[in-house]
Amino acid sequence: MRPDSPIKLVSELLDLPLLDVEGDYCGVVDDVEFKGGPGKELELKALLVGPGAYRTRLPRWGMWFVTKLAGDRVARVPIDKVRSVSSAVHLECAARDLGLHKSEAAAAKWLPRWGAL
Amino acid sequence: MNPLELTLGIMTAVGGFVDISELVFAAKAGSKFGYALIWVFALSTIGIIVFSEMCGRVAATAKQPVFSLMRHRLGLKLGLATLAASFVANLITCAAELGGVALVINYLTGAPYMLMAVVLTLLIVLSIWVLPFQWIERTYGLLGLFMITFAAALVAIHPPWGHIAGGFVPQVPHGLSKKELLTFGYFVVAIVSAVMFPYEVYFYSSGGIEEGWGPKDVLTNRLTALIGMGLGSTLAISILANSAQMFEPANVDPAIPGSAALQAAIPFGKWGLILALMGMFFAVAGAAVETCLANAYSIAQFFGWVWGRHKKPWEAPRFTITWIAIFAIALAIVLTGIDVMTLVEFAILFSILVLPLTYLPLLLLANDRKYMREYVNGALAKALGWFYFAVITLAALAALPLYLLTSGGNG
Amino acid sequence: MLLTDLRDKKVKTLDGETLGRVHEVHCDNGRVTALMCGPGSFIERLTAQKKGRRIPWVCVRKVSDDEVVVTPDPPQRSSGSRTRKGTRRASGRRSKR
Repeated sequence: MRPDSPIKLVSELLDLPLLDVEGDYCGVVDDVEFKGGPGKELELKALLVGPGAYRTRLPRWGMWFVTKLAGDRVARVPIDKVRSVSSAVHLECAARDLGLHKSEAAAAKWLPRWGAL
Repeated sequence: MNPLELTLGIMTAVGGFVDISELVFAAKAGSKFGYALIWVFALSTIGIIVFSEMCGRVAATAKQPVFSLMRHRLGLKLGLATLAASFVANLITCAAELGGVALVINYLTGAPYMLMAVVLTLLIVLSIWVLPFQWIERTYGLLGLFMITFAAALVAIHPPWGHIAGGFVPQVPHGLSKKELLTFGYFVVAIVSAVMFPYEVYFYSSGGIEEGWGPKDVLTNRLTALIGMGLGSTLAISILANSAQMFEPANVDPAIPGSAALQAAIPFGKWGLILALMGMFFAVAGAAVETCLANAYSIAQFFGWVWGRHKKPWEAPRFTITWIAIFAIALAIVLTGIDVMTLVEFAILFSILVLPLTYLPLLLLANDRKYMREYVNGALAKALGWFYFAVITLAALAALPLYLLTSGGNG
Repeated sequence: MLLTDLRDKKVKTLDGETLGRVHEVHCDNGRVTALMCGPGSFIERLTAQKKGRRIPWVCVRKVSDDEVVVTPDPPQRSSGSRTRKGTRRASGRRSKR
């Protein structure tokens, strides 16, 4: 389904993996951001990706552990970058265009680039 | 269908069925209770076939592995709890496998156990780094087939086939004392846990994605699950039956893993022993690879990292660092000197407690037409799935009390 | 506002009656159309078979840290608008609905 189709945000979007246009995993939908509020329209604005988005979903002690282990960064994926939603959220661009590649790039510096068939 | 496509199932099964826990429990089950526990292996085998087929079908249809969809179903908090619990269970199992592999080389060559643990861990890490996924599964899967020595040994000793066939009928032996009955109950639970270890389905479903399975591979998946797990079960039951024939009459308790290899030495002499030990080496090493990769798959899929050995190690950096770190931690556990059998007992206990949380989301996903379309669970898969979920839930509830009451099955 | 600011929040009417907790948010065309609230049992969440009461977004009055306050009745429709019972055709005859 497309993001403008009827969708149930908790059971059909939240916690789905994200796949960029190159078919690589680049995070999980950790939260959804809206614009608007009560008395006005509430529109989908962005998907939030990263351990920082756990803040509203974990107890304080859990968030302390997460921050120590993984930091508290959050990346925003504007809703217009979402191509379709099925068993994963398929994006219209590459992970690096949205800043979703940074942790993988940082980890890659630790690994040699030889020896694998 | 290319027969080599079955190697995923063979590796999963051989590494899942004849890992160090299975080797020891099958041998002990035979020596303690004769053929009376064969039915538990058979019943559990159907269960793991059902769930393996289901998770392979989910992977092929939804093109997502089990753990990605598990987080979607369970949510963050319960998903994290499941991840943490399965991480601990798989880590302890991985440590037990590394210890088991070092023990086998120690039996074969006399080389020091701790040194072999370090050397073999490094070699296994190197093999995963160098080889792409298909070669990892072919190497460990096919070389693990040396375990067929145990099935050959069973045929060679001319066992009472009627008694073996009788063992497939669900039963509780007559005349057991209360303590022996509790021990029997513990063995039932332990065998269910060991046969249906969660790492098997995580590895199998991720392996299906690594192999690039799609809806056209639904039949391949079914055959792989059936033949692979069927083969693994045959090998485990051979070890039990050998033990019942050779160890029970002599009151031998095969408490150390090496005792199982004697089953092939008795009919075939030195070469039987060598082939059995080689089979044990590759099967247990394969299990070490499976448990470690299963853990790394789970973590990477839960957090949405790039994962898989179909990519070069530096193309999936966080996943690579994770599996290397898991081996390092498992090796550290082995180097504390903790007995391999103690690790096996903890692995069995932790795994059975995690099993219901593992299989319930899988069952619900495979029942969900939105993801599965025309490949959704039919009536038979649904019925069997719920039946086995009830079995593992009962086993999970009974596991800890039985472990404590029987001192881990030692009476 | 975030999805997790709505999810699991207690839903109360202006009169103080508790209707349950938010367990689903319905969206169409990129806009939130309704909240589903009710007991939202664990089993219902796992099976994604959520039942409960549908609260159109237009009925939501306030979202605080602890609760979502709603009016239980949708706003009155303006006259001349369509009703569910049928629409007037150009001929003046009602449709069968």
